[in-house]
Amino acid sequence: MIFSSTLFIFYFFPFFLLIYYLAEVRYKNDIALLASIFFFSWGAPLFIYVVLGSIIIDFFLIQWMNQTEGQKRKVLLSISIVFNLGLLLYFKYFNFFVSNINDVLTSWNLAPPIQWANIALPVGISFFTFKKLSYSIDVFRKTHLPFVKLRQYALFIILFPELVAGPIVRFNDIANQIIDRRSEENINNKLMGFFRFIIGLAKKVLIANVLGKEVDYLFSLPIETISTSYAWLGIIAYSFQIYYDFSGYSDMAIGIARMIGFKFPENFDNPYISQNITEFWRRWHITLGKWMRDYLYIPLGGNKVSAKRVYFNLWVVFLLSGLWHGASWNFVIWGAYHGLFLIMDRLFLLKVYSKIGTFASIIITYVIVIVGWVFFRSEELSDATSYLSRMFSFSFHSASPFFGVKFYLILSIGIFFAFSGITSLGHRIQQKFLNAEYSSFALIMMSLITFLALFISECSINSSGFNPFIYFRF
Amino acid sequence: MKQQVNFKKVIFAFLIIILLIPFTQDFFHLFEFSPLNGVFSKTEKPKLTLDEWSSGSFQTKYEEYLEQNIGLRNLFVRANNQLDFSLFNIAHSAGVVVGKNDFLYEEQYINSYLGRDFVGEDVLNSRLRKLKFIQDTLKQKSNIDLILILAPGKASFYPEYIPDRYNPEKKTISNYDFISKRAQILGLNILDFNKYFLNIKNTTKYPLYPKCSIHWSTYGSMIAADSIVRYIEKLRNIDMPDILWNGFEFSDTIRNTDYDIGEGMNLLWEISYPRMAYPRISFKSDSSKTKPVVLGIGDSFYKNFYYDDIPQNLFIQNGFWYYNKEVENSNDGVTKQVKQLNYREEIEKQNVIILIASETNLWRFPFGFTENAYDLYSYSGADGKMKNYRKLILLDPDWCRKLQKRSEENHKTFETILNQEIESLIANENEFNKKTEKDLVEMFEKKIYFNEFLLSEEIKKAKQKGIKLEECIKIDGKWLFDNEFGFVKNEPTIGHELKYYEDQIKNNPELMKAVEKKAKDNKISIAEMIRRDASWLLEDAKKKSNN
Repeated sequence: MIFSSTLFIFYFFPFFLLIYYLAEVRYKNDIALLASIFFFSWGAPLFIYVVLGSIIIDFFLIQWMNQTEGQKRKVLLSISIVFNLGLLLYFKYFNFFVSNINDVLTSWNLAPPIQWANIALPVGISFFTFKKLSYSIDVFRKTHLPFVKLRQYALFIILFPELVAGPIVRFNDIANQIIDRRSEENINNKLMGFFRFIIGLAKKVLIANVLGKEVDYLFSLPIETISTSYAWLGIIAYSFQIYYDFSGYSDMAIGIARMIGFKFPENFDNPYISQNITEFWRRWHITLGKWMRDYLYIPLGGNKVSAKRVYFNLWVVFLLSGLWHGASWNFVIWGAYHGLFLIMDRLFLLKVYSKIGTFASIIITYVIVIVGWVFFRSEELSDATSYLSRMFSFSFHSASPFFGVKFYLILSIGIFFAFSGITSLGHRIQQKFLNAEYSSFALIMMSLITFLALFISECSINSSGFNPFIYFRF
Repeated sequence: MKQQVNFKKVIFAFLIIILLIPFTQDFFHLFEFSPLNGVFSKTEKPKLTLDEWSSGSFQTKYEEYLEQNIGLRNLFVRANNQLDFSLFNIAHSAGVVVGKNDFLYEEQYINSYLGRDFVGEDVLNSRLRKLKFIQDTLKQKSNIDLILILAPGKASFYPEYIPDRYNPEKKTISNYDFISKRAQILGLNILDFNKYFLNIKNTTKYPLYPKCSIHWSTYGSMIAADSIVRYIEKLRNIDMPDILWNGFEFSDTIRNTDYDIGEGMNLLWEISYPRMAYPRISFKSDSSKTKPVVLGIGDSFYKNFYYDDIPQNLFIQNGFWYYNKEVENSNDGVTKQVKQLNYREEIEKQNVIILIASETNLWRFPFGFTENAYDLYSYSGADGKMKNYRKLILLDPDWCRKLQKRSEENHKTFETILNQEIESLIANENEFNKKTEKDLVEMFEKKIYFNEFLLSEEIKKAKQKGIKLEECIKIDGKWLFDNEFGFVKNEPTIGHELKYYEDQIKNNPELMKAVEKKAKDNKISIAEMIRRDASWLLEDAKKKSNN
């Protein structure tokens, strides 16, 4: 079940809210937990047992760890980390490892390939694994006491708003809210949460999906048929597709959470106005960046080691970030690519950007980012290299695929809003839109806009698979 | 402050109620919306079982089912389609293109007009020559007239509204261009309504082709019907019942197929269209009038005649074989497949056989009839191939001219060159017949892959179906094979089974001796004796297979 589905928007969500709002305070967590278990089971009916089992194991393991000190405490933390990473490695990366081993075995004729039945990838595993690790580590570091009740821990791990695609909510950020969030359960948050949810829905359905349809078409064409200009158009469109898709989903998650009294951290902050890659990673998937910083980069030494070691740490963090996104060499290369530019920022690029000015820096950074997106979007490494060579081949002879007015209009709207934060006015409008207190008139206007956005989005969702023939075809 | 809070609560409650409207509509059906039009598949409500739940299949099917059945669904779809049409000229109906001034086309009509689906001179020549062979044979043997009708294509009729992105100025030879010209040269009985409608386009009072339809208008189809009747009368020297034109009705409600694309677009409100005229016709018949037995074989353009009772009033036993596959309007009212019929028997019942197609179907016209009928009426036996090719060549003036020129250049007699040509054709055919179905399907797959237009269509189709391009090409390669060769190879009719046994007898000298003796003893022709013995063999084979 995804947020932008009819089932979620008109069945699960309103009925969950009704039951949640009508319930007494002491039952609200349980209702949210049951709803989250149902939500997860719907998408992963068998894996839910693994998740619940691992939640139970982890809960008691960390309870035990919290009662110990010294070496034993470290050992129990290690067990928790290995256990959770082991699950992630098994479900997400074992197919990848086996496939690579088989490639080596067959290429070098060392042995027959290993026979292996592909493991299905459970939804959200990357996200809740990181949440479990943050719980274990935060308790270890004594940043926060562990939960007293298993139900509270279970709710933290599989709370449905951010289960599938984040933001990655850390234990320390949310622990107190799970225990008591009555102060945040007010009409203001409910309304603002609703508006935020619909904004996210509209970003995903009306911008990302529209761009995605044509991007998919362009990427499916034989590469020789695409000219250089269309190659650039395709990847630019993809850069906005992925931005509005991901940030839209984060908006929906943050909005739903706000409606039930939770305050989730922001995950995106106008990433394409970044003036360097370092800044990009402070604006794109912010919660992942912070998680990696606090739980990987800093334990590796952070900035408090030699320059060479810092660069090594950065690269390891970004290689692993890339791999976290998907079990494929493309993602590893994407991560390494960003790691390289982070290092180059520290070496000399930041100085260059400071000399060439804001506008040029933004353009260069954006180009660096979209070249990286080629690896992210392509299925195979060879596809990525072919696409990149097309982008830089200056070949303009091929036939032009047709993209209608709708595509260009939506792309323009996407570009406008993505870069509107460049100016202070644009930034202030965004903040006012999302966070400020609305007057009655503004509330009514916002409600009407929300209603319209919801209606148009649902029209689009419901029609997406409907493309009838006029007559039966022989 | 409290007032503000209450106001916010009201707004929020209102927003939650909005989320519950589709669910409420589902149960209480408070609003009525017109059903959606077109051909589409519907998902059944899935049954919840443990296995279905565990595999995730119940969830997937249930979500699909819900999307299709949620309250207000029809409104959502129509609103979406209307928005995209009004703002962006997008049509959410498979294959539909919005042209200039909101003229609607099916894309394949545009592609056919522009020559993008041209199957090649060789293929069309082969079919047209065989049609001429069949036309002459049927006329000689059974006084049956074969008439080809080229129905008008929308893109041909309204090229001025084709969107610029199709580069209409880059038109190349189309199947219609080739067929219309060659059919005349070969002497086929042909009525070219594409050309006729274009000739009278600017002089008719009412639209011959509607703005939002695939088919000719009711008015246009009546003009065509009138012309067809006069043509049959001249061809057969008969006087058929008269069609009387008693003026026109102008209706606010569009009728028949005059808005079929528009309906399929499922919009909130109708696209504006010019006033349509509906002729008031009646029929005048008496004992002096002759109604021929007519069989129509072709696409849906023939169906338009049924709306105004043309076949019912002017023909006897007005059969129609839709795409040479489905029997419509059969006398017993039962829907049948053509392959269930005795093909030869059905053909020989007719006085007139009309083969009709619009421009977009000319790449496969006439839908396997040529292969079916040629197989039945061509020469068989040891020298059958030679006789057939000889006849095909001699029927074609262009081919004869080419061979005549070759004979002069090589200083050989025409007969020698003719025999060489026949030998070469037989050798090619024998080579071709060695190919397996797998070879032929691969041939079609390659044809798709190396044709820019066909490949782009496959990419679109693969994307729509959510399958890989290679898989889509395989499916369509097989489909092309079935359409080109399946009429004889894969879907033999009863007539073909009989012919198989007739050929078995003719190719066996000992059996032929026995047949000749029996024919003499029974005082019937050898051909009739062969047919009787073949029928017996067929019945015997069927009994054995049933046991």
